[in-house]
Order: sequence, then structure tokens, then C-alpha cells
Amino acid sequence: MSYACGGHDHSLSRRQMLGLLAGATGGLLAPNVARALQSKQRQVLMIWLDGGMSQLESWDPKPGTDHGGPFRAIPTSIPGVHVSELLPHSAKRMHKLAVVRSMQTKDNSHSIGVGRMHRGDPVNRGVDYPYLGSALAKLMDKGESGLPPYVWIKPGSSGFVANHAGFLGGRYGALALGDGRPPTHLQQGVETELEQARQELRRAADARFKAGRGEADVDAWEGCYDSALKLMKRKELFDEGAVSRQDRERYGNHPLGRHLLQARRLLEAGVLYTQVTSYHWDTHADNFAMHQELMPQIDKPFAALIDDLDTRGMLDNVVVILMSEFGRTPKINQRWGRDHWPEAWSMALAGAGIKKGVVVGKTSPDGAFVDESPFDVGHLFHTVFRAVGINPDTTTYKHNGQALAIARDDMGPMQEVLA
Amino acid sequence: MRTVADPTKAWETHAFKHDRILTTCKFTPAGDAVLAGGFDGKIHRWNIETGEKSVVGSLATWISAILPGPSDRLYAADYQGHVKAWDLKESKELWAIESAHPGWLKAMALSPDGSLLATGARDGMVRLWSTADGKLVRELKGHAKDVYSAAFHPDGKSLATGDYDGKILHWDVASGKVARTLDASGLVTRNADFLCDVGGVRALAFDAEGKRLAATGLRDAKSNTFCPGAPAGIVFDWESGKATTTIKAKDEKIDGGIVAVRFMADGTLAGCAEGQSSGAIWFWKPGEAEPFHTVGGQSVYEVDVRPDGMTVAGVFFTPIGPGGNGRTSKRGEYVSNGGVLRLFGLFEKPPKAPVKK
Repeated sequence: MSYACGGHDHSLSRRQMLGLLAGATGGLLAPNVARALQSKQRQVLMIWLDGGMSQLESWDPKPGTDHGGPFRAIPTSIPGVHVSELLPHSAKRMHKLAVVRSMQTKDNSHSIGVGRMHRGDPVNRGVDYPYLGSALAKLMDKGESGLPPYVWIKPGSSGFVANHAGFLGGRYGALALGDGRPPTHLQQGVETELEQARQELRRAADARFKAGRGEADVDAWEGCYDSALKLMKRKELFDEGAVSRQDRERYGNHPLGRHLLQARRLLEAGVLYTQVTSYHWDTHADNFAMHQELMPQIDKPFAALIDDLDTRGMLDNVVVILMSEFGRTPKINQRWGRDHWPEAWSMALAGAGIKKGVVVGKTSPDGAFVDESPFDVGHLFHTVFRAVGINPDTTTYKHNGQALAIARDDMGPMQEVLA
Repeated sequence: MRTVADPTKAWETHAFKHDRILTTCKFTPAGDAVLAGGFDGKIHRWNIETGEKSVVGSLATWISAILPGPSDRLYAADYQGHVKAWDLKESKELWAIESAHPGWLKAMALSPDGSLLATGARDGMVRLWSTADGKLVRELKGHAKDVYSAAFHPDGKSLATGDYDGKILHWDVASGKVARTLDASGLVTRNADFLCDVGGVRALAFDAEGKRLAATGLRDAKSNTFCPGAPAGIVFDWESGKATTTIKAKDEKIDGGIVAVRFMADGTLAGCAEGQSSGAIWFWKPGEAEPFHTVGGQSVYEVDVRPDGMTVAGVFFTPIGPGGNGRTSKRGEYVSNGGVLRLFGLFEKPPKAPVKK
């Protein structure tokens, strides 16, 4: 019997990463987005619950209906709006969130769905589109932190994941921090004369290799080295002793809590795009007992994170996205699980450029289908780009002389969500 | 007259269908009817002879436990922590506990004399209630995790409760103190890669003499998503507290836990299991690890033995319409799965009566 849904752990071997680093590089056609954004540097936090969080046990409860499950709906800080009782902390922050209950996407498999969601479901133009993190690393000013623009905190292995960058080229890939740990060599000093000499030798070799080759793959390598060197000078970002016990308790001593706390620290330090991934939300069996265990692992740290960003004034600059690749079937299977359901599911947004305290879209009374305002991931990409100050209607990628839309040109933003 | 049950002769005598998944079932003490609760929050009653179906009562959400008691009493609980009592003869609600626990009330047991109802839930609490009026008698603190199962010892002085952590607490009912802890941690899978533990003591049952306690669930789970593992159970010698037998399934394809278990009068153990593609009711002889007989079918969530010992009942899953990932039905045709309450005679199937010409 197979239990494989094609789960999408993107951990790559070093050899794979090296191979994937070889990719074409892309450029901006127009306008100079970075200059336009200099006045207000925006950042993004993507919280990805891989496998598919149940909308019925989170943002769109349907108690008392055929598919509703055994949990109650509880009131939130927005009068008249209810969420599942498994989200007690988030319910109190609903006035800071925008919840979309009408996501309607195409894929019901992880293997295709995860990639398509992260790439914004682009129209097939014969190229491999970048993940959102890579896209923003390309399109936005990196800020003054000098830190890697795209950091991915995830369970498992660390490394540089170049294939997220698609046609943009390896330098826009993700720096993966396995279990939120710092890169292996971070503890080694970079200030020694020997290290400086080593880097000079590397740069000289790179320059010689590049001579006459124009923009070459080696640029990606240089980008990686530069990012790593800058990160190596910021050891304090990973010093657990610098985190208060109170913060650790507020976020929770489980991987997702620790990773979200680490994400907050990276955002504070100026990382442009931070993604936190939690795997194993694919509750095909015992969905209800499992969600009782899983939901507190996102509810409490998510609420703590929203509070922290708010009190630090960072919600004005940081766009927070909380989502999965799809939701879960309303229909309950024979192991009391829920399967994959892209037809009608929910996600949450908060922060920069996002309205506060809105619930967008509506599902049918039994929660199975979207009744109002269906949105696909293309709409989400438009929305996020707008929220960070990029106009997808006037901004394109340039790849091999071809202009490519940064978001689906047959879709637009979720206007109901944009502030 | 049939007096000795033989599970190897099991044959289906009745199949009562329902349009929602059924969660639990019990025979009435008189054995004339069988009761079942379901996802619809209702307790249904089927007259075995006539097949007539009626609704006894309802709670707020999925029914987690039903227990018929002496004097035509019926007690039932739901997953939100509500408990109610009815007089079955008068079809009348007697009392209700609005919040026996905050939620996920799964464990309920009735004392042998019918005077006490024990409940256990996700809050880790075990509470004893008077069946006369539904008032709290005693609160038992000791579990660190969700309480999943409960069973009174036949002497009425002891109560066993099992939890998500694989612990079985033996309570002295009179004092409310923990007398000892039995280890059923083999029914829990803890893996650093999982988002949470999988398993727990899903069911408990004493034999008629109170010499053996069976604890069942799932071992060796491979993930917290499909939760596939091996159906398993541990039989304890109650006096010594030592595990004497580890029971398992015969069918390797069934990957869910043994979620309900009952001892029959002769010491045979009947248990049922759920699975991704199929389930079963199994029968084990005392001291044997492998079941000697299997009644197959879809997932089974509860098993009960008729008071005369000659019939077992199980609530089975029934697929309605296509299932699986993604949209499999048109809007308007997307319906929930269902259940069927199946009764099996544990005796030689009588030959068909000749058809009269």
C-alpha cells in the first residue's frame, strides 16, 4: 500500500544543488523597481504548512453541517466572524488579519501543487518560473542589511536551493537553514588573514573565468559566497541565548514555534523574504485528533508573531502570508481523515499593504465549494506584488530577450484584501 | 437452543444502513435493540426483530460514546464534552451535563452497579458523575495527556483509564487516588520527524471476572499524516499488572488501530479495526497473539456483544459516492460518507426455509 502523496520536501543534496546552480540569468525590463521602493523597504514572511491545513478546522468552520467535523466555531475580534475553536489565539488577532476563504486552485496533488503555488501558477511560456521568494529577491531592493534576500527555514537539511530561482538563475535561490540552524561554517571566523587571502584568490579565479563570458553562471556562485560571508558576520542572529525565555514560551518549544521566532529575528535584521515551512499537515487519517495537535503549533506562534511585528511597527513593512498548497476535503474518509481539496480553501494575510480585519470570499453552506469571489494563486501573486509596491501590470522579467509577466496577466489582485 | 458462541461461524444477520458515518454502537440490556451514534449527533435505535428505526435523542455534535445501563437508562456523550441521560422506556431526557469537559470527550464507562459514570477527555481529567442526577461526584487528576479510554473493573472498586501517552492509570474509585500505572507505551509512536505522537490507548476492556485487562490501539506508525501502522493490543494480568499477551492483526493490509474491544463470556476477545482500504472485526482466544477468526469489511469503529453472547454488532464505514483527492462529484452531488450497523450471529447459519410453492 502506498502512502506517498508526492510530499514535497525540497531538501537537496549538495551535488544536486551544484548542478542546479547552472541556470540562465534574468533581468528587469523596466522600471527600476528598486529605486521606487527605496523609501519604504518592504519585507515578506511566508508561512507554508506543507501538505494542506484543513480550512474547516481553521479559518472556515462549518459546525453542525454534514462535513463540519466535531469542533465548535468561536467568535473572533471581528464581530460576527467565527473561526475554529482550534485557533483561539489567532481569533483574538482577527482584526489585524485578512482571511481569504475562497481560494480555488487547480492541483490536487502535492507534487505539482506545491511548485505551482510557489511559482504563481504562471502561464506556460516554456520557462521555469521563480518561486515567490526568488522573484522578490530579483524585483526588490535588498535593503542595507547585506543579508541573503531569500532565507528558507525548514525542518531537515540546510543548503543553497538554486532551483527555486527558475530562469532567474541560481543567485536568486533560497538559502535553506535546516531546523533554523545557522550554516555549518558560520562558527568559523571570517576575519582571519588566511580567510581573506582565500576569498581574494577565489575572486581572482572567478574574474579570470568570467573574462569574455559576459554574465555567466559564476555570478550565481559569487552571489552565494557573498551572502554566506555576510551571514557569517552576523552570528548573533542565531544566538539562542539572546532570546528571552518568555519569547520561547510564547512561540512554543516545537519546530514551527522555534522557526517562526527565528524568522522574526531575521526579519528584524532585514532579510527581504523569509519562508518558514512546516511539513506533515497532510492529514489523510485521524484528521481531527491530528488537527488538535497541529493547530496549536501554528495558532500560538502565529499570534505571537503578529503581536511582535505589530508592537515593533513592522506590520507596516512586512507582508505575512499563511497558507498551504490546498485545503482538505470536506468529505471525511474511512480513517476519519480529509484528503486534498483545491476547490475551496482558506489562507490568511497580514501586514504591509493588507487590509486589517477583513474576511474575503464565501464558501457554500457545507464548505465544499466557493460561492463568492473565487481566487487562484495568480490573484495572490498580484496581491503580494502590489502589497510590496510592485505593479505587475508595468513590471516584467526579461529572459533571453523575451518579456515575461511577473504574475498571470489574465488575473489581477484581490482588491478586497489590498489596503 | 444455542448456548455457546462460535465466532468462526459468524454470519451477517442484519445490516442497518445510515446516511452518515456511525461512530459507536451498543446492544440494549434486553438485547432486543441496538443503538448507534454517529456524525449526525443523534442516537439511533434499531429494533432487531422488526428493523424499525427511531431516534432516541441527540447531542451537539459527533457522538463519542453511548452506554445503556440498568433501569432502561441510556447515557451518551459527544466530542464537545456534553453528556446526557435518557429513560429509554419513556423516551425521555433525564438530565444533561453542559460541559463535562471542554471538548474531545472520548472515554466513558459505567460502573457495574450503574451508579457512576466515568468520563475522560483531552483536558487529561477523569470525572465521576452520579447517574441519578448527573452531578459531579469526584475529579481524578493524574493523566498528563488526552484520556482516550475507560473501563470499570467488575468489582466496581477500580477504574482503568488510558491516555494518548500510552499510560493506563488504575484508580481507586472510593478515594480517587491513582493506585498504580500500567505501561502501554507500545501503543504510541513517537518520532522526531512527526508533528505529533501517533496512537494512544484507544480502547480498554476487562474480562467478566476482572482478571484480565485488554488495551488496544496502533503500534509502529510510519507518519502522522496517513498514520499507517500495525493494529495492536496488550492484555494485562490485572492482579500483577504484567503484560501477558501482545495481540496483533492477521491481515497486514489493515493499517489502522484496534479502536474498540470487548471480552466475551468465555474469555474470547473481540476487537475491531479501521484501515485506509479495509477494516475488520477480529476474535482472539485467551493467550493467543493472532486472531482465530476475522470478519472483514470496511473500517469498523465499534464492536459490541449482545447480552446473550450469540451476536456481535459493529459499525462499519460505508463509502457513498466517489472519494479521494480533489473534486470527484458535481456540485449538488457531493455527499458525506455513510455507515452501516452490521450484526453477526456467532452460530451456524440456519438453512434457508424451503420456498412454498
